[in-house]
Amino acid sequence: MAWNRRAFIGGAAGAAGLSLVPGTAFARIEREKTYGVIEIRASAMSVSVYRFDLANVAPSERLSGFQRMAPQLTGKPFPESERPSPLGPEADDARAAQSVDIVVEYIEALKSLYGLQTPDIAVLVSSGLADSAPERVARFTAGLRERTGLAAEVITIHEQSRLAYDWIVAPARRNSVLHIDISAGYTKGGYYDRRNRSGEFFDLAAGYGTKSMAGDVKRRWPEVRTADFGPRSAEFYRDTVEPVLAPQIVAAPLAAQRPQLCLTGGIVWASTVILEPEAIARQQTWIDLAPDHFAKLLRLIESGTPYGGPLPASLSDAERERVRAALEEVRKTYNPHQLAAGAAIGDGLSRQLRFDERERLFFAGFASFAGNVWSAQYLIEKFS
Amino acid sequence: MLRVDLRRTVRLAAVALLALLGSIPALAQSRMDNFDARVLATHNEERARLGVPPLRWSPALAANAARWAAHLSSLSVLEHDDSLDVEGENLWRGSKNAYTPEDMVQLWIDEKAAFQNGVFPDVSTSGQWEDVGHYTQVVWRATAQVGCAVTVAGGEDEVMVCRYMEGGNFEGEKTY
Repeated sequence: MAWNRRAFIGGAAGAAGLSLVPGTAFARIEREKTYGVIEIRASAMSVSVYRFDLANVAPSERLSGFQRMAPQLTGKPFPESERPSPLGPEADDARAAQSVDIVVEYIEALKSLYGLQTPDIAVLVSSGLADSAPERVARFTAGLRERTGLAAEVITIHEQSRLAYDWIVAPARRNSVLHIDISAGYTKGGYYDRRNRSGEFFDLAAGYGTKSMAGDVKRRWPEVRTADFGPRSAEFYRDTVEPVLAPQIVAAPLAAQRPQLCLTGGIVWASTVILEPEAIARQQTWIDLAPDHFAKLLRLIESGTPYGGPLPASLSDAERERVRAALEEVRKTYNPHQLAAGAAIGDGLSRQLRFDERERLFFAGFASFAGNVWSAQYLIEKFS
Repeated sequence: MLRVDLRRTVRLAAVALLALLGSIPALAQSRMDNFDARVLATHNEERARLGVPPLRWSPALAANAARWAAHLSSLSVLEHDDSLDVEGENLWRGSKNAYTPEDMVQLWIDEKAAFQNGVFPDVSTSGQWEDVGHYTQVVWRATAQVGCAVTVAGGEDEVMVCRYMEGGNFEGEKTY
């Protein structure tokens, strides 16, 4: 099958002992346990089913959450699981009033399709949504508890960053790695300071992501065209995003000292598909990036070929097909303006976080199935 | 006796008129007013620049586009309608409330930076026709009609679907 983002995501999840495919498709793992998670964000709601191989999930100093699931490629399909958010700004009051009914319907579906019990299901609400619509979220959580007994949990940006970190980085490597995730609406990440006994997690966050910043740039410069969207985005980053992150970086000096910087997020995936097709074709778990990775993408956009040039001649036919499928997914996910905004965020971060001074800069490709990183780690910690 | 300084009166009247004009709400069209006409005009301006005959608006194609747009509004990514045969399709997705109809079509037209007018699919300097595939459909000479629809999608986005008859991007043919 074509190795695109969906398959990539599903392959990682399925083989990792986490599955997002119908229950009948994965009946042979022993000591398995299946859990469901309903994640409600401002922009969308996702419903996922994860299967844990209980033999693998015990905490380990040497393995991250992802590695504890012993990943291998299987290429299992990943069904579309995104739904419009019943509580976000796109939902009118009538839909928000039905939010409990909508979520209860999904809970019942999880029970009937996968044989789950109520305690096997988690309902998570992003803190971005809770901040933007506190009354809606309060009414929803009270109503859900009354109808089902389930307590929806609001996950803060700090906690999302911490969970994502633990999903990707093993405890033994905490002194080495800084993690940054560039998502659609947020840029966030962090590191552990293990100088104290608790190993406190410090996070960095700015409420600007690839898609939200693209909208902001277009609204500020209505006449902007594709060729100059990158420079305008860079300008926006300098005068708006950089000042948000700068004091946080000053307050977290160890962020600059971590020798390795791990990047995740949709724009990192997309830019890697465009700029590192051979690594994508070979399905590498960790893909090394150059310090000027995002500057290269900005130059491509400015020159009129945002999705890259001819594919390398070194690729086999099968590899070429994989890359073409992945590029098609990139095109369906990001328009050139959004690519430019995301690249400008990455390029701005490269200066603020000194990508050029790191021993290693890499994309945690296989470990970072988009949008589900922190919720996967949440389930590991809650149920293992 | 009343003395009138005519020049001062004229000047004051001009100032008053400017102040009055400044207080009148702008009468410019709002972002999506006359959507059909503006989408059509943006297509045809680019076609005229190349000497390609103009498109006509098709309500039937616009209705088909609206049905597909409604389907896309519940998805997190774009996907083409695989059931299409002779109809062509261009899809656009971007930030809600940030783009005019002209901007949406312009994003496709901007692809011409990598366009070369070879025999399809040899139409892109990147070697990948998909990089210019929206643009080639916009200016495809044999296409005569267009109909489009826009809708709100998840993720604070909007989606625009345009359908074309007959569709472009045929292998072995030139764009114009």
